[in-house]
Amino acid sequence: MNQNKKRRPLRWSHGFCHVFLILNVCVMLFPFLWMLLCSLKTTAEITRIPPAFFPENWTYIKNFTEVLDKYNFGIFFMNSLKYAVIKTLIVLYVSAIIGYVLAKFRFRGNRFLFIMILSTMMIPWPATLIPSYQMMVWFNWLDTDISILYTSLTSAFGVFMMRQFAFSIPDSLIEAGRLDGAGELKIFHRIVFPMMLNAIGALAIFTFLWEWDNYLWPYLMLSDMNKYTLPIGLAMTTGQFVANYGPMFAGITISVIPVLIVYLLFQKTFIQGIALGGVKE
Amino acid sequence: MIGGTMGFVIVVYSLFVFFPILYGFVTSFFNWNPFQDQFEFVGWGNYSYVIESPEFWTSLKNTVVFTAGSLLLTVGFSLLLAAMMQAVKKGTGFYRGMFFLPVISSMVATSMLWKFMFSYDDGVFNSMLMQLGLGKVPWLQDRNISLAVLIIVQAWKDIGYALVLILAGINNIDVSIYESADIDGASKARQFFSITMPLIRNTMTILIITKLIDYMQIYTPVKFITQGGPGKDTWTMSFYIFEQAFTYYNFGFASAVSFLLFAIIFVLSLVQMRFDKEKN
Repeated sequence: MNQNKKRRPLRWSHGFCHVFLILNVCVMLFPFLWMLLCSLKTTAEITRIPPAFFPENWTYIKNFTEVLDKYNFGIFFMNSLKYAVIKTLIVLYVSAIIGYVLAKFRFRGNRFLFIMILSTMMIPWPATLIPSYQMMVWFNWLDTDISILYTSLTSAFGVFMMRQFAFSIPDSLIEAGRLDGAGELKIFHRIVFPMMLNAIGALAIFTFLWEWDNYLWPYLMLSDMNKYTLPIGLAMTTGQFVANYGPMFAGITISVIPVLIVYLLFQKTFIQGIALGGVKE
Repeated sequence: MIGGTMGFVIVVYSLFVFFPILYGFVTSFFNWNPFQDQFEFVGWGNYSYVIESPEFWTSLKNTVVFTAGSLLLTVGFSLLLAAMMQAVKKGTGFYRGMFFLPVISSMVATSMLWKFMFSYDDGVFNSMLMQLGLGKVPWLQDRNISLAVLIIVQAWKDIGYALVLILAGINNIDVSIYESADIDGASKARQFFSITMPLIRNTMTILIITKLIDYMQIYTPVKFITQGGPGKDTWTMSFYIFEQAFTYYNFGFASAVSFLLFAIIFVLSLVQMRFDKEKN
Protein backbone atom coordinates (compact mmCIF):
# COMPACT_ATOMS: atom_id res chain seq x y z
CA MET A 1 0.00 0.00 0.00
CA ASN A 2 2.67 2.36 0.98
CA GLN A 3 4.57 1.66 -2.16
CA ASN A 4 1.71 2.90 -4.30
CA LYS A 5 1.72 6.23 -2.58
CA LYS A 6 4.61 7.91 -4.33
CA ARG A 7 6.25 10.21 -1.85
CA ARG A 8 6.72 13.72 -3.15
CA PRO A 9 10.36 14.71 -2.97
CA LEU A 10 10.90 16.95 0.00
CA ARG A 11 11.30 20.43 -1.44
CA TRP A 12 12.25 23.37 0.66
CA SER A 13 10.10 26.21 -0.41
CA HIS A 14 12.27 29.21 -1.18
CA GLY A 15 9.84 31.52 0.54
CA PHE A 16 10.06 29.61 3.78
CA CYS A 17 13.85 29.59 3.65
CA HIS A 18 14.05 33.33 3.09
CA VAL A 19 11.64 34.04 5.94
CA PHE A 20 13.63 31.77 8.24
CA LEU A 21 16.95 33.33 7.24
CA ILE A 22 15.69 36.88 7.58
CA LEU A 23 14.19 36.13 10.99
CA ASN A 24 17.55 34.78 12.07
CA VAL A 25 19.37 37.82 10.74
CA CYS A 26 17.01 39.96 12.83
CA VAL A 27 17.74 37.91 15.94
CA MET A 28 21.50 38.09 15.33
CA LEU A 29 21.41 41.84 14.79
CA PHE A 30 19.06 42.63 17.67
CA PRO A 31 21.87 43.13 20.22
CA PHE A 32 23.48 45.72 17.93
CA LEU A 33 20.18 47.55 17.54
CA TRP A 34 19.64 47.49 21.30
CA MET A 35 23.19 48.74 21.88
CA LEU A 36 22.68 51.69 19.51
CA LEU A 37 19.25 52.57 20.91
CA CYS A 38 20.43 52.42 24.51
CA SER A 39 23.50 54.50 23.77
CA LEU A 40 21.11 57.34 22.88
CA LYS A 41 18.95 56.98 26.00
CA THR A 42 19.32 58.54 29.40
CA THR A 43 20.04 56.15 32.24
CA ALA A 44 16.54 56.82 33.57
CA GLU A 45 15.03 55.70 30.26
CA ILE A 46 17.15 52.54 30.23
CA THR A 47 16.24 51.40 33.73
CA ARG A 48 12.58 52.38 33.54
CA ILE A 49 10.20 49.41 33.94
CA PRO A 50 9.08 48.60 31.32
CA PRO A 51 12.07 50.14 29.52
CA ALA A 52 11.54 52.65 26.75
CA PHE A 53 12.23 50.86 23.47
CA PHE A 54 13.16 53.95 21.48
CA PRO A 55 15.08 56.90 22.87
CA GLU A 56 12.91 59.96 23.53
CA ASN A 57 15.50 62.24 22.05
CA TRP A 58 17.36 60.83 19.05
CA THR A 59 20.08 63.46 19.26
CA TYR A 60 21.01 62.77 22.88
CA ILE A 61 24.79 62.35 22.65
CA LYS A 62 25.71 63.18 26.23
CA ASN A 63 26.53 59.49 26.89
CA PHE A 64 29.25 59.66 24.27
CA THR A 65 30.75 62.96 25.37
CA GLU A 66 30.69 61.78 28.97
CA VAL A 67 32.33 58.43 28.28
CA LEU A 68 35.00 60.03 26.11
CA ASP A 69 35.84 62.85 28.51
CA LYS A 70 35.00 61.72 32.00
CA TYR A 71 35.79 58.02 31.59
CA ASN A 72 38.82 58.56 29.29
CA PHE A 73 37.53 56.35 26.51
CA GLY A 74 39.18 58.63 23.97
CA ILE A 75 42.56 57.66 25.42
CA PHE A 76 41.58 53.98 25.69
CA PHE A 77 40.47 53.98 22.06
CA MET A 78 43.76 55.44 20.86
CA ASN A 79 45.73 52.96 23.01
CA SER A 80 43.75 50.01 21.62
CA LEU A 81 44.35 51.26 18.11
CA LYS A 82 48.06 51.82 18.75
CA TYR A 83 48.69 48.36 20.23
CA ALA A 84 46.54 46.57 17.66
CA VAL A 85 48.21 48.29 14.68
CA ILE A 86 51.79 47.86 15.92
CA LYS A 87 51.22 44.23 16.92
CA THR A 88 49.59 43.49 13.57
CA LEU A 89 52.58 44.98 11.70
CA ILE A 90 55.04 42.93 13.76
CA VAL A 91 53.06 39.71 13.28
CA LEU A 92 52.80 40.31 9.53
CA TYR A 93 56.48 40.99 8.95
CA VAL A 94 57.84 38.29 11.25
CA SER A 95 55.38 35.64 10.02
CA ALA A 96 55.93 36.49 6.36
CA ILE A 97 59.69 36.18 6.58
CA ILE A 98 59.68 32.97 8.66
CA GLY A 99 56.92 31.46 6.52
CA TYR A 100 58.84 32.28 3.34
CA VAL A 101 62.10 30.81 4.60
CA LEU A 102 60.37 27.63 5.78
CA ALA A 103 58.53 27.22 2.48
CA LYS A 104 61.25 28.08 -0.01
CA PHE A 105 64.61 27.19 1.50
CA ARG A 106 65.97 23.70 1.99
CA PHE A 107 68.18 23.36 5.01
CA ARG A 108 68.79 21.00 7.88
CA GLY A 109 66.28 21.64 10.65
CA ASN A 110 63.62 23.15 8.43
CA ARG A 111 61.10 20.47 9.33
CA PHE A 112 62.14 20.64 12.99
CA LEU A 113 61.58 24.41 13.14
CA PHE A 114 58.18 24.08 11.53
CA ILE A 115 56.99 21.34 13.89
CA MET A 116 58.38 23.30 16.82
CA ILE A 117 56.40 26.41 15.86
CA LEU A 118 53.28 24.44 14.99
CA SER A 119 53.32 22.55 18.29
CA THR A 120 52.98 25.81 20.21
CA MET A 121 49.51 26.22 18.73
CA MET A 122 48.05 23.63 21.08
CA ILE A 123 49.41 25.20 24.22
CA PRO A 124 46.40 26.65 26.05
CA TRP A 125 46.94 30.21 27.24
CA PRO A 126 46.34 29.42 30.93
CA ALA A 127 49.41 27.16 30.91
CA THR A 128 51.81 29.99 30.04
CA LEU A 129 49.97 32.78 31.83
CA ILE A 130 51.59 32.48 35.26
CA PRO A 131 55.20 31.80 34.20
CA SER A 132 55.00 34.56 31.57
CA TYR A 133 53.72 36.93 34.22
CA GLN A 134 56.60 35.93 36.50
CA MET A 135 59.03 36.49 33.63
CA MET A 136 57.72 40.00 33.12
CA VAL A 137 58.35 40.63 36.82
CA TRP A 138 61.96 39.40 36.44
CA PHE A 139 62.54 41.46 33.31
CA ASN A 140 60.97 44.46 34.99
CA TRP A 141 58.64 44.79 32.01
CA LEU A 142 55.40 45.23 33.96
CA ASP A 143 53.44 48.25 32.81
CA THR A 144 55.61 48.79 29.72
CA ASP A 145 54.61 48.77 26.05
CA ILE A 146 57.08 46.00 25.36
CA SER A 147 55.22 43.57 27.66
CA ILE A 148 52.20 43.96 25.39
CA LEU A 149 54.10 43.93 22.11
CA TYR A 150 56.56 41.05 22.58
CA THR A 151 53.83 38.39 22.22
CA SER A 152 53.60 39.28 18.51
CA LEU A 153 57.00 37.70 17.93
CA THR A 154 55.64 34.18 18.41
CA SER A 155 52.53 34.04 16.24
CA ALA A 156 52.48 30.37 15.28
CA PHE A 157 49.23 30.79 13.40
CA GLY A 158 50.77 33.59 11.30
CA VAL A 159 53.82 31.49 10.39
CA PHE A 160 51.60 28.55 9.51
CA MET A 161 49.37 30.64 7.25
CA MET A 162 52.26 32.46 5.51
CA ARG A 163 54.17 29.24 4.92
CA GLN A 164 51.15 27.63 3.27
CA PHE A 165 50.79 30.64 1.05
CA ALA A 166 54.49 31.04 0.23
CA PHE A 167 54.55 27.59 -1.41
CA SER A 168 52.51 29.00 -4.28
CA ILE A 169 55.14 31.61 -5.20
CA PRO A 170 56.96 30.43 -8.36
CA ASP A 171 60.61 29.53 -7.77
CA SER A 172 61.52 31.03 -11.15
CA LEU A 173 60.76 34.53 -9.88
CA ILE A 174 63.05 34.07 -6.90
CA GLU A 175 65.74 32.58 -9.15
CA ALA A 176 65.44 35.51 -11.54
CA GLY A 177 66.00 37.86 -8.64
CA ARG A 178 69.11 35.94 -7.65
CA LEU A 179 70.47 36.04 -11.22
CA ASP A 180 70.03 39.80 -11.18
CA GLY A 181 72.32 39.80 -8.18
CA ALA A 182 69.73 40.90 -5.65
CA GLY A 183 70.39 39.95 -2.02
CA GLU A 184 68.07 37.54 -0.26
CA LEU A 185 66.50 40.25 1.88
CA LYS A 186 65.94 42.41 -1.17
CA ILE A 187 64.30 39.50 -2.98
CA PHE A 188 62.01 39.01 0.01
CA HIS A 189 61.05 42.68 0.17
CA ARG A 190 60.74 43.38 -3.55
CA ILE A 191 59.44 40.11 -4.99
CA VAL A 192 58.04 37.81 -2.32
CA PHE A 193 56.31 40.26 0.01
CA PRO A 194 54.19 41.90 -2.71
CA MET A 195 53.11 38.47 -3.96
CA MET A 196 51.90 37.49 -0.50
CA LEU A 197 49.64 40.51 -0.10
CA ASN A 198 46.43 38.45 -0.25
CA ALA A 199 47.43 36.22 2.63
CA ILE A 200 48.95 39.18 4.46
CA GLY A 201 45.64 41.01 4.25
CA ALA A 202 43.86 38.00 5.70
CA LEU A 203 46.36 37.63 8.51
CA ALA A 204 46.15 41.36 9.20
CA ILE A 205 42.41 41.09 9.76
CA PHE A 206 42.73 38.10 12.08
CA THR A 207 45.50 39.67 14.11
CA PHE A 208 43.87 43.06 14.38
CA LEU A 209 40.58 41.60 15.60
CA TRP A 210 42.33 39.43 18.19
CA GLU A 211 44.37 42.31 19.51
CA TRP A 212 41.45 44.73 19.53
CA ASP A 213 39.56 42.28 21.77
CA ASN A 214 42.57 41.22 23.84
CA TYR A 215 41.73 41.70 27.49
CA LEU A 216 43.52 39.36 29.84
CA TRP A 217 47.21 39.92 29.18
CA PRO A 218 47.06 43.73 28.89
CA TYR A 219 44.90 43.73 32.01
CA LEU A 220 47.58 41.82 33.93
CA MET A 221 50.43 43.92 32.54
CA LEU A 222 49.16 47.48 32.63
CA SER A 223 48.53 49.45 35.77
CA ASP A 224 48.93 52.99 34.43
CA MET A 225 45.44 54.11 33.41
CA ASN A 226 46.89 56.18 30.56
CA LYS A 227 47.97 52.93 28.89
CA TYR A 228 44.63 51.11 29.29
CA THR A 229 42.92 49.66 26.23
CA LEU A 230 39.18 49.62 25.52
CA PRO A 231 38.47 46.13 26.95
CA ILE A 232 40.29 47.01 30.19
CA GLY A 233 38.55 50.36 30.31
CA LEU A 234 35.17 48.72 29.83
CA ALA A 235 35.87 46.09 32.49
CA MET A 236 37.21 48.64 34.95
CA THR A 237 34.38 51.07 34.56
CA THR A 238 31.62 48.45 34.93
CA GLY A 239 31.70 49.16 38.63
CA GLN A 240 31.47 52.89 38.06
CA PHE A 241 28.61 52.36 35.61
CA VAL A 242 26.36 50.63 38.14
CA ALA A 243 24.08 53.61 38.43
CA ASN A 244 25.04 55.03 35.06
CA TYR A 245 24.10 52.70 32.22
CA GLY A 246 23.91 55.33 29.48
CA PRO A 247 27.68 55.89 29.28
CA MET A 248 28.26 52.14 29.53
CA PHE A 249 26.29 51.58 26.34
CA ALA A 250 28.18 54.42 24.69
CA GLY A 251 31.45 52.74 25.74
CA ILE A 252 30.34 49.41 24.28
CA THR A 253 29.28 51.16 21.06
CA ILE A 254 32.68 52.84 20.76
CA SER A 255 34.36 49.41 21.10
CA VAL A 256 32.18 47.77 18.48
CA ILE A 257 31.10 50.26 15.81
CA PRO A 258 34.46 51.42 14.29
CA VAL A 259 35.41 47.80 13.54
CA LEU A 260 31.97 47.16 12.06
CA ILE A 261 32.35 50.14 9.74
CA VAL A 262 35.75 48.97 8.52
CA TYR A 263 34.22 45.53 7.99
CA LEU A 264 31.29 46.87 5.98
CA LEU A 265 33.74 48.77 3.75
CA PHE A 266 35.99 45.78 3.10
CA GLN A 267 33.49 42.99 3.54
CA LYS A 268 34.78 40.88 0.68
CA THR A 269 38.37 40.95 1.90
CA PHE A 270 37.22 39.98 5.40
CA ILE A 271 35.18 36.99 4.26
CA GLN A 272 37.86 35.76 1.86
CA GLY A 273 40.48 36.24 4.53
CA ILE A 274 38.62 34.20 7.11
CA ALA A 275 37.94 31.46 4.58
CA LEU A 276 41.62 31.48 3.56
CA GLY A 277 42.86 31.28 7.14
CA GLY A 278 40.43 28.58 8.17
CA VAL A 279 40.95 26.20 5.32
CA LYS A 280 44.22 24.38 5.54
CA GLU A 281 45.33 22.01 2.89
CA MET B 1 68.82 34.63 5.73
CA ILE B 2 68.47 30.97 6.77
CA GLY B 3 70.82 31.37 9.69
CA GLY B 4 69.21 34.57 10.83
CA THR B 5 65.70 33.17 10.69
CA MET B 6 66.70 29.97 12.44
CA GLY B 7 68.49 31.83 15.18
CA PHE B 8 65.60 34.23 15.64
CA VAL B 9 62.99 31.47 15.80
CA ILE B 10 64.99 29.35 18.23
CA VAL B 11 65.84 32.23 20.57
CA VAL B 12 62.41 33.84 20.57
CA TYR B 13 60.38 30.66 20.91
CA SER B 14 62.69 29.21 23.55
CA LEU B 15 62.60 32.36 25.62
CA PHE B 16 58.95 33.32 25.31
CA VAL B 17 57.17 30.00 24.82
CA PHE B 18 59.20 26.94 25.80
CA PHE B 19 60.88 28.36 28.87
CA PRO B 20 57.57 29.58 30.38
CA ILE B 21 55.89 26.26 29.65
CA LEU B 22 58.71 24.36 31.30
CA TYR B 23 58.89 26.73 34.22
CA GLY B 24 55.12 26.46 34.63
CA PHE B 25 55.37 22.68 34.68
CA VAL B 26 58.13 22.72 37.29
CA THR B 27 56.28 25.18 39.51
CA SER B 28 53.15 23.02 39.42
CA PHE B 29 55.08 20.82 41.88
CA PHE B 30 55.71 23.72 44.23
CA ASN B 31 53.63 25.50 46.78
CA TRP B 32 54.18 28.93 45.29
CA ASN B 33 52.60 32.11 46.58
CA PRO B 34 54.60 35.15 45.45
CA PHE B 35 52.89 37.45 47.92
CA GLN B 36 53.83 35.36 50.92
CA ASP B 37 57.31 34.60 49.58
CA GLN B 38 56.39 30.94 49.62
CA PHE B 39 58.15 28.54 47.29
CA GLU B 40 58.49 24.96 48.53
CA PHE B 41 58.54 21.63 46.79
CA VAL B 42 55.39 19.58 47.40
CA GLY B 43 55.73 16.82 44.79
CA TRP B 44 52.36 15.77 43.45
CA GLY B 45 50.71 17.68 46.30
CA ASN B 46 49.07 20.30 44.11
CA TYR B 47 47.74 17.70 41.72
CA SER B 48 46.21 15.54 44.44
CA TYR B 49 44.76 18.67 46.02
CA VAL B 50 43.25 19.64 42.64
CA ILE B 51 41.71 16.20 42.20
CA GLU B 52 40.12 16.42 45.63
CA SER B 53 38.78 19.91 45.08
CA PRO B 54 35.05 19.99 44.25
CA GLU B 55 35.58 23.30 42.44
CA PHE B 56 37.86 21.57 39.95
CA TRP B 57 35.21 19.01 39.10
CA THR B 58 32.51 21.67 38.80
CA SER B 59 34.78 23.67 36.48
CA LEU B 60 35.65 20.63 34.41
CA LYS B 61 32.01 19.63 34.11
CA ASN B 62 30.97 23.16 33.13
CA THR B 63 33.78 23.36 30.58
CA VAL B 64 32.74 20.06 29.01
CA VAL B 65 29.04 20.98 28.97
CA PHE B 66 29.84 24.42 27.55
CA THR B 67 32.12 22.94 24.87
CA ALA B 68 29.64 20.27 23.83
CA GLY B 69 26.69 22.67 23.86
CA SER B 70 28.46 25.45 21.95
CA LEU B 71 29.80 23.00 19.38
CA LEU B 72 26.40 21.42 18.80
CA LEU B 73 24.60 24.74 18.57
CA THR B 74 27.22 26.51 16.44
CA VAL B 75 27.91 23.67 14.02
CA GLY B 76 24.32 22.41 13.82
CA PHE B 77 22.81 25.80 13.30
CA SER B 78 25.38 26.99 10.77
CA LEU B 79 24.89 23.77 8.80
CA LEU B 80 21.14 24.40 8.75
CA LEU B 81 21.66 27.99 7.63
CA ALA B 82 24.19 26.93 4.99
CA ALA B 83 21.78 24.30 3.64
CA MET B 84 19.04 26.91 3.36
CA MET B 85 21.32 29.46 1.76
CA GLN B 86 22.47 26.87 -0.73
CA ALA B 87 18.85 25.97 -1.50
CA VAL B 88 17.71 29.53 -2.17
CA LYS B 89 21.01 30.69 -3.75
CA LYS B 90 19.86 34.31 -3.90
CA GLY B 91 21.06 36.62 -1.15
CA THR B 92 23.91 34.41 0.05
CA GLY B 93 26.30 37.34 0.18
CA PHE B 94 23.87 39.45 2.18
CA TYR B 95 23.03 36.75 4.71
CA ARG B 96 26.62 35.72 5.16
CA GLY B 97 27.63 39.34 5.63
CA MET B 98 25.01 39.89 8.31
CA PHE B 99 25.69 36.66 10.22
CA PHE B 100 29.33 37.66 10.25
CA LEU B 101 28.85 40.88 12.23
CA PRO B 102 29.14 39.22 15.68
CA VAL B 103 32.38 37.50 14.62
CA ILE B 104 34.23 40.79 14.27
CA SER B 105 32.68 42.43 17.33
CA SER B 106 34.65 42.65 20.55
CA MET B 107 33.69 39.76 22.82
CA VAL B 108 34.37 41.83 25.92
CA ALA B 109 32.02 44.59 24.79
CA THR B 110 29.26 42.34 23.48
CA SER B 111 29.42 40.14 26.59
CA MET B 112 28.69 43.22 28.69
CA LEU B 113 25.86 44.05 26.34
CA TRP B 114 24.38 40.56 26.65
CA LYS B 115 24.73 40.65 30.40
CA PHE B 116 22.62 43.76 30.52
CA MET B 117 20.06 42.33 28.11
CA PHE B 118 19.70 39.25 30.32
CA SER B 119 19.41 41.28 33.51
CA TYR B 120 16.53 40.18 35.74
CA ASP B 121 14.77 43.46 36.49
CA ASP B 122 15.59 45.84 33.67
CA GLY B 123 16.82 43.49 30.92
CA VAL B 124 15.13 43.69 27.55
CA PHE B 125 14.25 39.99 27.39
CA ASN B 126 12.44 39.89 30.72
CA SER B 127 10.66 43.15 29.87
CA MET B 128 9.43 41.59 26.64
CA LEU B 129 8.27 38.50 28.50
CA MET B 130 6.46 40.66 31.04
CA GLN B 131 4.70 42.60 28.28
CA LEU B 132 3.60 39.32 26.73
CA GLY B 133 2.07 38.48 30.10
CA LEU B 134 4.68 35.81 30.87
CA GLY B 135 6.85 35.59 33.95
CA LYS B 136 10.46 36.68 34.26
CA VAL B 137 13.20 34.12 33.65
CA PRO B 138 16.15 34.03 36.10
CA TRP B 139 18.65 34.06 33.20
CA LEU B 140 21.73 34.63 35.32
CA GLN B 141 20.38 33.50 38.68
CA ASP B 142 19.87 29.83 37.83
CA ARG B 143 22.92 27.62 37.30
CA ASN B 144 21.56 25.67 34.33
CA ILE B 145 20.03 28.66 32.60
CA SER B 146 23.15 30.78 33.02
CA LEU B 147 25.29 28.03 31.49
CA ALA B 148 22.80 27.93 28.61
CA VAL B 149 23.10 31.72 28.28
CA LEU B 150 26.88 31.37 27.90
CA ILE B 151 26.39 28.74 25.20
CA ILE B 152 23.88 30.90 23.33
CA VAL B 153 26.17 33.93 23.39
CA GLN B 154 29.16 31.88 22.20
CA ALA B 155 27.08 30.40 19.36
CA TRP B 156 25.84 33.88 18.44
CA LYS B 157 29.47 34.97 18.18
CA ASP B 158 30.73 31.96 16.19
CA ILE B 159 27.92 30.97 13.81
CA GLY B 160 29.05 33.50 11.20
CA TYR B 161 32.59 32.13 11.30
CA ALA B 162 31.42 28.54 10.93
CA LEU B 163 29.09 29.63 8.14
CA VAL B 164 31.90 31.27 6.15
CA LEU B 165 34.05 28.14 6.40
CA ILE B 166 31.18 25.82 5.48
CA LEU B 167 30.13 27.98 2.51
CA ALA B 168 33.76 28.12 1.33
CA GLY B 169 33.85 24.33 1.54
CA ILE B 170 30.62 24.06 -0.42
CA ASN B 171 32.01 26.44 -3.05
CA ASN B 172 34.86 24.03 -3.73
CA ILE B 173 32.44 21.27 -4.71
CA ASP B 174 32.12 20.61 -8.42
CA VAL B 175 28.74 21.94 -9.63
CA SER B 176 28.30 19.08 -12.10
CA ILE B 177 27.76 16.67 -9.19
CA TYR B 178 24.64 18.60 -8.23
CA GLU B 179 23.50 18.83 -11.83
CA SER B 180 23.55 15.09 -12.27
CA ALA B 181 21.79 14.68 -8.92
CA ASP B 182 19.11 17.06 -10.17
CA ILE B 183 18.68 14.95 -13.28
CA ASP B 184 18.33 11.86 -11.09
CA GLY B 185 15.56 13.67 -9.24
CA ALA B 186 17.24 13.88 -5.85
CA SER B 187 15.67 16.49 -3.58
CA LYS B 188 17.70 19.44 -2.27
CA ALA B 189 17.64 18.04 1.25
CA ARG B 190 18.78 14.65 -0.02
CA GLN B 191 21.57 16.31 -2.01
CA PHE B 192 22.70 18.17 1.08
CA PHE B 193 23.06 15.01 3.16
CA SER B 194 24.39 12.74 0.41
CA ILE B 195 26.65 15.10 -1.53
CA THR B 196 27.45 18.24 0.42
CA MET B 197 28.02 16.72 3.86
CA PRO B 198 30.54 14.04 2.83
CA LEU B 199 32.43 16.47 0.59
CA ILE B 200 32.88 19.14 3.26
CA ARG B 201 34.07 16.64 5.86
CA ASN B 202 37.58 18.12 5.83
CA THR B 203 36.30 21.59 6.51
CA MET B 204 34.05 20.29 9.26
CA THR B 205 36.90 18.44 10.99
CA ILE B 206 39.06 21.54 11.05
CA LEU B 207 36.18 23.69 12.25
CA ILE B 208 35.20 21.31 15.02
CA ILE B 209 38.70 20.67 16.31
CA THR B 210 39.78 24.33 16.35
CA LYS B 211 36.55 25.39 18.05
CA LEU B 212 36.78 22.50 20.49
CA ILE B 213 40.22 23.66 21.60
CA ASP B 214 38.97 27.25 21.84
CA TYR B 215 35.94 26.33 23.88
CA MET B 216 37.94 24.22 26.33
CA GLN B 217 39.75 27.45 27.27
CA ILE B 218 36.65 29.62 27.49
CA TYR B 219 37.05 32.69 29.69
CA THR B 220 35.76 36.03 28.38
CA PRO B 221 31.96 35.43 28.42
CA VAL B 222 32.23 33.74 31.82
CA LYS B 223 34.14 36.69 33.18
CA PHE B 224 31.83 39.35 31.76
CA ILE B 225 28.38 37.74 31.75
CA THR B 226 28.07 35.47 34.78
CA GLN B 227 31.28 36.29 36.71
CA GLY B 228 31.25 32.55 37.32
CA GLY B 229 27.94 32.89 39.14
CA PRO B 230 25.50 32.22 40.56
CA GLY B 231 27.99 31.37 43.31
CA LYS B 232 30.67 29.30 41.59
CA ASP B 233 28.18 27.43 39.43
CA THR B 234 29.47 28.55 36.02
CA TRP B 235 33.20 28.47 36.75
CA THR B 236 35.13 27.01 33.84
CA MET B 237 38.68 25.65 33.86
CA SER B 238 40.25 28.89 32.67
CA PHE B 239 38.16 30.92 35.08
CA TYR B 240 39.22 28.61 37.91
CA ILE B 241 42.89 28.91 36.95
CA PHE B 242 42.69 32.67 36.74
CA GLU B 243 40.91 32.99 40.10
CA GLN B 244 43.40 30.67 41.81
CA ALA B 245 46.33 32.54 40.29
CA PHE B 246 45.37 36.19 40.47
CA THR B 247 42.76 36.36 43.22
CA TYR B 248 44.28 33.89 45.71
CA TYR B 249 47.86 33.94 44.36
CA ASN B 250 48.14 30.15 44.51
CA PHE B 251 50.51 30.17 41.52
CA GLY B 252 51.68 26.56 41.94
CA PHE B 253 48.18 25.21 42.39
CA ALA B 254 46.89 27.18 39.40
CA SER B 255 49.79 25.84 37.31
CA ALA B 256 48.78 22.31 38.23
CA VAL B 257 45.23 22.94 37.03
CA SER B 258 46.50 24.53 33.83
CA PHE B 259 48.63 21.48 33.07
CA LEU B 260 45.65 19.20 33.55
CA LEU B 261 43.84 21.38 31.01
CA PHE B 262 46.90 21.20 28.76
CA ALA B 263 46.84 17.40 29.01
CA ILE B 264 43.19 17.28 27.98
CA ILE B 265 43.78 19.59 25.02
CA PHE B 266 46.91 17.66 24.06
CA VAL B 267 44.94 14.42 23.89
CA LEU B 268 42.26 16.14 21.79
CA SER B 269 44.96 17.42 19.39
CA LEU B 270 46.38 13.92 19.05
CA VAL B 271 42.91 12.69 18.15
CA GLN B 272 42.80 15.40 15.47
CA MET B 273 46.13 14.32 13.99
CA ARG B 274 44.85 10.75 13.96
CA PHE B 275 41.83 11.97 12.01
CA ASP B 276 43.95 13.89 9.51
CA LYS B 277 46.25 10.93 8.94
CA GLU B 278 43.42 8.53 8.30
CA LYS B 279 42.11 10.74 5.55
CA ASN B 280 45.37 11.46 3.73
